[in-house]
Amino acid sequence: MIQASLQQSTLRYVARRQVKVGVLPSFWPLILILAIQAGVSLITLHNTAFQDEALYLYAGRQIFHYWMGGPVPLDRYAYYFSGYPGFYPVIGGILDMIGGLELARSFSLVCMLGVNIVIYVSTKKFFQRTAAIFASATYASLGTVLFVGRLATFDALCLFLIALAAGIAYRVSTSHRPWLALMVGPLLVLAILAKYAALLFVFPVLGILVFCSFVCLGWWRMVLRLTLAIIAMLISLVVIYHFMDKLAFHAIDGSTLNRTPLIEKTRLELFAHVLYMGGVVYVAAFGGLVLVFLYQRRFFLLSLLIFGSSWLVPAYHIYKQEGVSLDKHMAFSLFFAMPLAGYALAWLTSQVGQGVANLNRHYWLAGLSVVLIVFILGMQQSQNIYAQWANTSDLSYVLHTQLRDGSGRILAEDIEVSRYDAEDITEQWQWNGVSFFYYVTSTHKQLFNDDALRQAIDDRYFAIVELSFNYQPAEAIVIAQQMVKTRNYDLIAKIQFQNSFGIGHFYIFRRAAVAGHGNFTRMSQVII
Amino acid sequence: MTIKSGTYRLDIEDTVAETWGKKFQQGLQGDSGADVSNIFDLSVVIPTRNERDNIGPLLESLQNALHGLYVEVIFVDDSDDDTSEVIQDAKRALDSSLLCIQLEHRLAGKARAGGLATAVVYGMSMAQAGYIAVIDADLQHPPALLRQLYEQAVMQDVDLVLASRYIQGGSNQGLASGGRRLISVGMKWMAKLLFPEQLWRISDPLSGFFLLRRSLLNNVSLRPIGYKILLEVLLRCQWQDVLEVPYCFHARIHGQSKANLRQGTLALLHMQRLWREVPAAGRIWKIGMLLLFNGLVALALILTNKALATTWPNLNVIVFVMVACLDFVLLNRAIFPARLTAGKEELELSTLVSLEDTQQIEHTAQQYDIKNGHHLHTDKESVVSLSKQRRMPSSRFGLMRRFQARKGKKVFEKLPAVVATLAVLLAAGWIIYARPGAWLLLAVLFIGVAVTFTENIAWDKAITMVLAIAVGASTLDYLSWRILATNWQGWWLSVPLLWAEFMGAVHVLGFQITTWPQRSPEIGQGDDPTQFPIFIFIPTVNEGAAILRPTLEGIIAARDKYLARYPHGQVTIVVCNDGFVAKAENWQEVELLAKERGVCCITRTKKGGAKAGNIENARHELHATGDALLVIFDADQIAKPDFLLKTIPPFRDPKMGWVQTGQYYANLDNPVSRWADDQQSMFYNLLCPGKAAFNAAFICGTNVVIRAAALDQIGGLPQDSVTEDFAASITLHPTWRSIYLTDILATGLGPLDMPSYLKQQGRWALGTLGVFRTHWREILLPKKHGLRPGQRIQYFLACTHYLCGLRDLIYILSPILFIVTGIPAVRSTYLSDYLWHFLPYCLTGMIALWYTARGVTGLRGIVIGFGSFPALINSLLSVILRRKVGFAVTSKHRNGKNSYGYLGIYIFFFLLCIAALVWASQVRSQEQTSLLISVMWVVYSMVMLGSFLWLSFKDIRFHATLRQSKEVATHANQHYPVKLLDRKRGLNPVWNLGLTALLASPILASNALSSLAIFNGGASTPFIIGQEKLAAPYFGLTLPIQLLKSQPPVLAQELNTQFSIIGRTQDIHDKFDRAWADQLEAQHASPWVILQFGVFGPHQTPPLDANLPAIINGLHDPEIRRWAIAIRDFDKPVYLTILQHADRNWSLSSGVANGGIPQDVPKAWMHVQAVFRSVGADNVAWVWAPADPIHDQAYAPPPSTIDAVLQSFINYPGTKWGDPHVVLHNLVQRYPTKPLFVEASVDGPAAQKAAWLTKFGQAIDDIPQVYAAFYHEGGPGLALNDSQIESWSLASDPDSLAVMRRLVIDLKTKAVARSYGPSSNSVAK
Repeated sequence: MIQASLQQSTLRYVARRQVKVGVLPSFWPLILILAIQAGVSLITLHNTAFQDEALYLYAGRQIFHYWMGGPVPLDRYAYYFSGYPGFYPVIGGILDMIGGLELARSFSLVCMLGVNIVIYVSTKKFFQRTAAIFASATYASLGTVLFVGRLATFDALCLFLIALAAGIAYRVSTSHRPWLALMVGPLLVLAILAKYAALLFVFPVLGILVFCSFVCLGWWRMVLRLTLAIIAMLISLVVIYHFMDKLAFHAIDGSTLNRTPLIEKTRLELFAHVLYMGGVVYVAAFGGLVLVFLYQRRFFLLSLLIFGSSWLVPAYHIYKQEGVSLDKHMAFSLFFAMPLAGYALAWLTSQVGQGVANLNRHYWLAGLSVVLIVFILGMQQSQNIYAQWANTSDLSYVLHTQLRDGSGRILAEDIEVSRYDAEDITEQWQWNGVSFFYYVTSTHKQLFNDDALRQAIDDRYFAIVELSFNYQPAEAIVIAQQMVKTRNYDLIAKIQFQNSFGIGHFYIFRRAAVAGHGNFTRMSQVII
Repeated sequence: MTIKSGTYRLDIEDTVAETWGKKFQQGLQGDSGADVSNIFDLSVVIPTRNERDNIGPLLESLQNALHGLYVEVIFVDDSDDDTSEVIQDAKRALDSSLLCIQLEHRLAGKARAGGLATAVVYGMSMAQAGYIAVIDADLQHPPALLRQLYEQAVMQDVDLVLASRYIQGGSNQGLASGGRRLISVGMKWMAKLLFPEQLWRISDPLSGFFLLRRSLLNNVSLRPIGYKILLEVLLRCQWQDVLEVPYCFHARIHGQSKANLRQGTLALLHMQRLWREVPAAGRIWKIGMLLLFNGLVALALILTNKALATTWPNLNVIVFVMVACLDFVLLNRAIFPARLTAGKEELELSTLVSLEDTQQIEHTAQQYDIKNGHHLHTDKESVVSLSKQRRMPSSRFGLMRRFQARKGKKVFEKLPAVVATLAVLLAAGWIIYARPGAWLLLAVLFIGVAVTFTENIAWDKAITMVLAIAVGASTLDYLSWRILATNWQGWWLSVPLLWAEFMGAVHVLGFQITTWPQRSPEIGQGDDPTQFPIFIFIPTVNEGAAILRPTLEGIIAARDKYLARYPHGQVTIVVCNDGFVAKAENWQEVELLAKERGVCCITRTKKGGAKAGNIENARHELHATGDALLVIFDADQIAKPDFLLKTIPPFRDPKMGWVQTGQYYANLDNPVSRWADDQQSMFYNLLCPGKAAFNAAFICGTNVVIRAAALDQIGGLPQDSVTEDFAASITLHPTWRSIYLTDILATGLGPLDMPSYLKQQGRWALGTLGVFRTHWREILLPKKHGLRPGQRIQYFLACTHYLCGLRDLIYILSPILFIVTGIPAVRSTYLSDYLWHFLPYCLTGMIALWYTARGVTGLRGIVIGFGSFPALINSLLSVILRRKVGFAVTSKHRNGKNSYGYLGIYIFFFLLCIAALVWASQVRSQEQTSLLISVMWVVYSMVMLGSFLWLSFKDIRFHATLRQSKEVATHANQHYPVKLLDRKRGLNPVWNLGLTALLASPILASNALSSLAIFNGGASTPFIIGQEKLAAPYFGLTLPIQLLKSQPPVLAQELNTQFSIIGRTQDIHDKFDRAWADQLEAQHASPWVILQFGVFGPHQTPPLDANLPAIINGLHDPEIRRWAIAIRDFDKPVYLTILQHADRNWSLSSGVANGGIPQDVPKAWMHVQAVFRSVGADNVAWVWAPADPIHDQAYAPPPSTIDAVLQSFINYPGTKWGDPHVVLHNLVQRYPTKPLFVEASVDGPAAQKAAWLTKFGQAIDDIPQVYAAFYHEGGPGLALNDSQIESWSLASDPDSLAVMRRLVIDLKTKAVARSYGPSSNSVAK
């Protein structure tokens, strides 16, 4: 008979250690997608600050300095900013102080990556993993997404907060724990604070909560969640209202609710542009809507809601005939369309329910093809959008040869970028824009706008004048004509630039050493 | 670490007993069919050397301990005494049927090489049980413990159980002395430290008493040295778990210990060998050493960077490439080599063994078709993944888990396919339109991988597919760009090149389509094919009996094996002898051979139709038609025994027309065959299986089984083509199907020399292109019931493959023609643009080829394929001109004659390439981008031609060697590797590449790292003028750049002195002239640099950024910092002047003009100083040099920031010259504490000049604050001419020169006098 006489305690068991990759396999497709999104954004999109970026970051720094005991900002940003100046601009400003424009833009990129993560997770939760991969890959390839991820403005943060709220709404609607709904309200309020236009998405997000939880959990659980979300939102609103600068209401009215179009376009043009930016996704999302109708009709209303939500921004732009910012606002719209689009692509690739293990069916190539089409288009679009504004590196360089910290006033047509670029060598009081200019003469006469500009030129009030005849051409011409007339200025530099409208020039004028002896004597010296 | 424990003794006893009982019964029954390896429970390996006294007690102990187990005891005896006899006696005396003793006595000499180590390995190789134990014969290892080792191994299901002296309950007291114990412990720790990954947790890795699972030794080659076998096992075998059992090492009772110092040395050598040979052994140290090596190289570069920066600016890149290559080789070969894959994915139908297999597969297919509504999956992985997929829990609220196809709505079923096709076409079109370049490639790789890779993925398939898509996308991108960039004006050059590139691209895409992972072909159900008569035809012409004999032996063995399995089968072997009609000398010996081997021989008497005619003749004679299966073997192809067993079963599918197998060369010692085999492997191992998936595997003429009915349908094998098999396939494929088996079922002779190879290629090209000429309608034109699209693609690719000869010729000639004529094939474009599109195309093509073909083919196949271009072009011409070419068999004998004529064309083109490169080096006016690209291609052609010539040289050398050995016959009798089974994991080199980049990155970054503060040695030695104790003022020169090198030596000679300071003016954008400064240092002089922030433009206009705000606002900071670092690194005194004449409006950086204001001057001055201070450049004396230092109050920087003040006397002719005394006196009033630099430059009448210079000298002599006096050569002008230089020179006239000589002598005298103190001074006076 067999004897096992050893005491077990005297034995030593040694198992060989196996090295394993620590990344969850279900998430590393997402990591790859995020990597290509970040890589393409960071490497292909390069330009100096856009005027909005320059304005917000400059404002953010001023506000932050003020909070830290510095001087009061001279500009009333809350009066006209389309987001609350004390929120994103300060975040952007601090990042700008630490790492410059690139770091501020990186924050936007992180926000957009976050949005994509929400799309992946929500689509996976709501539909299926393959649909999530396609949704995420397609969103990462969109021109508007790549663009917003490289723009240090309100948009990325606002969209991230909306996405987070929507993601939580999805989650809380499928969970038996309702308390997460309390987060939806504050996130929406923060999104509104980041950019007032987020008001538009309050109802879609709450709609997701309502429809999704109703279908998944029943009506009373839906009511509970909705109530929690609304209560939290109201409390947040009250708290915010208490602390906020009330001037912001003027901005909400002017920039969002009753906006006057800056660049008016026909509705057909705008519709065509919407299709150009997101047509593929809309077609796919519509396909997804049809599929939901065919296969899972109980979710149809919810799908209809998110599909409809994806049209809110385009509809508003088309209604207002406003062309400005439509490119970046499309990122908001398409966020809502992505789950349906991913679902349709998954169906197209016959992946739904099968997994991609069955690679011998080659339809997955079709899904990839669609994503590649979007990618090629998106990369081209984002580069085009990014080249819409002129590179101001040369302008900044030349200004650095002329400006003195705390000495001399500067009149700049492109004040936002000029001031931002020269922030390190000037004080805020030195800068004057060509719009809303106010001037008091030596005889205490108060002048405004063109009259003020003419008189100031006459008085050699400005040490440096920058004109491009591009941003505010009417005022620029008035100023130039006055300089010609008075001969008080020397034209010292002509810097060529190129933007989406073509080639132009920045002109730098310096106060002549002797009044009336400047070299800028003819308008023909500048190209208008 | 975990310790397993439990109370399962009873269970395991039962289990072991039951197992033993079953085996024992088998053993007793003596079933001849039983696998003997399963009989023994345990094999005990005992190495012995002069242990006669221990054998008896040992066996007795073993018998007692292992009672009840069926044990095999293997003695490997190296004794010189009578130990063997003792063992034999013991064996005879043994009365146990459970203990089986085997003895292997190794004779003294070679057999005993390696001693105990080889004895144990030998014993283990003989062992037959599932577990093997190793124990010494000296009774120091307690045999009684063996039972427990075995039981624990079975109970705990571990790979290895070792008896340990170093855990609780064990001891090493049996070691003879304290010294031995110390050495034992020391060696143990050394092993653990050297190989921590494997041994750190093993308490006694050098134990000689252990038990292991025999399967651990599979595919492992043990090469131990000395006594430490366990160490070898632990490091070379892939064990998963080890159990350690304590034991007491007993003292030796009989005999002598063999342990000595030599054994200790051997153990060290053993460890060294393991460290070297086993990649995983000591891996952490290997990586650490590599890391250290790279770090040291980087450090060396950082330290030498400053010295070598000017001469080798890109040294770090060069070193990086070299070290990275070394890293990669070491990583890839020695640290993380790729492991072999199981090769399962390649083996699907190819692993069929019998009819039953096909039935099994078919059954599986049906099951899956029924269950999933999907296609057949035969590979195990897919089956597993599908079943897993079904079990995978879906998300609870997942909206949809699976689409249900709606019955009756075919539109819905087809819609995805339609949309998918449209989407793919749209994407292709969009790529062609948009030409996104390399970004597309990244998107394909990242998104493609993201989409395809999942938990249950077949990795190899997914990688292949993603790479294929990347190749497709980048090819479309490149071709569309290429068309756009074509120079249509030079059409005669550009169009052929474009065609060649298109052909290349088509075949690149074709390769991807063919190798795209496909599902296995289905095999239909039908009649049992083993009932069909089989005729094996072996056509022969002049090969002779020597070649034919092994062929016949091979096929006879295959026939016998087949008939053993299917006794009812009918197999007829037929030698189709064409020797008579071909008038071969040896035709009769074939008949004799056939008779000898008992096979049929049909000798044809009526010629015609070559090989096809020969086979058809035999078929006709034997009535091999209808249901018969025809096997065709070339005379040199030796069948493997499984041939018929594997190729016949698929004919149960009634639509199966033929089963093709590979044609492999087994004379791989021949270099041409070796290289040609690489080329063949690509076709047979990669392309043929792919073609089979499209039902386009064509008949290759040999190693094939064809259904006679198929041939009957087309009237037999076509006899009007040299590739009759290929032509027949095209005609048959619309109605018959074919499959291809990748097994090595026959091997043959490859071409024996290069002419044979070229002839073979030419013949195949002739046949294939000829078939394309005659059958192009079937391939290209639509036809009802004709070939299917996939088949058409495959036949098109096969037919056009041989156009690659023309393509390669164009590749060689085009760049040469461009270089010579200057007409580019591509219109003016940027190199970056070309690379942006070409590199993704080229790289992805190469990577995809490498990945797909890894382990199957390599560069050799590509080179030899390239080298066949003259033969292919010749065949193309023959087809075009319809020249009649007879069928010629590839020679199976070496040609005795030396024919090197074929080499001429390669040498010619090689020389042409060299000439083109020489020409290119002389070309100046052509487009540089196109020229560079052409040169690149010429170099590529040279590499290919050179490689082919190298192969030809090897071939010639090989035959010369053979001639010397007088060997005539060649046989295909060498082992042929199963390439698909032995492929390595594909991604390992990629990871290693990444790791290499990571390891070597500090080298690449060494330039950047060298600027880090840690490597910058702090600040320079401070230089403070005020602390200098001067005996007399220095004397120096300032000069314009054109006089800097030439004038100082001349003037030094004229004045008989050495200048102490040499001044020059430099632009901030220049570099600090370190060589000049070092030269001055060698002459005990110091440099004085007047630094300006730019140069005047036209009309003396200063650049905007030369002004003071630009300096203050930091626009020049990078340049200033660069200067500061360079001066700091010089670490010797430097005088520096900036903002010269800033108090004047003519100045470049003026404080009264160009946007500057006086207040800017001190700000700019201090800003520059701040930058210098920030990098530690303290060896600078700042010389303030306004135009009027006496009245510079509005401009002057704070006095504390000024080290010296310059007073310049620039005396123009015809002007009033200032009195140096007065001026300097006033200056001293203005700057009473500052050392003065005094500079003079004079042009005027000689007498006046000499007189003024005399005053100048006196003033210097009289005013003690003067620190240095200078003469400025060349005058103040910016654009100097020779006369100005001469007139302003110090040596313009003898009087002036004489005055200056006196001044120099005075200064010297003063210096000497003061150096001797006040008394000497008074004497001098």
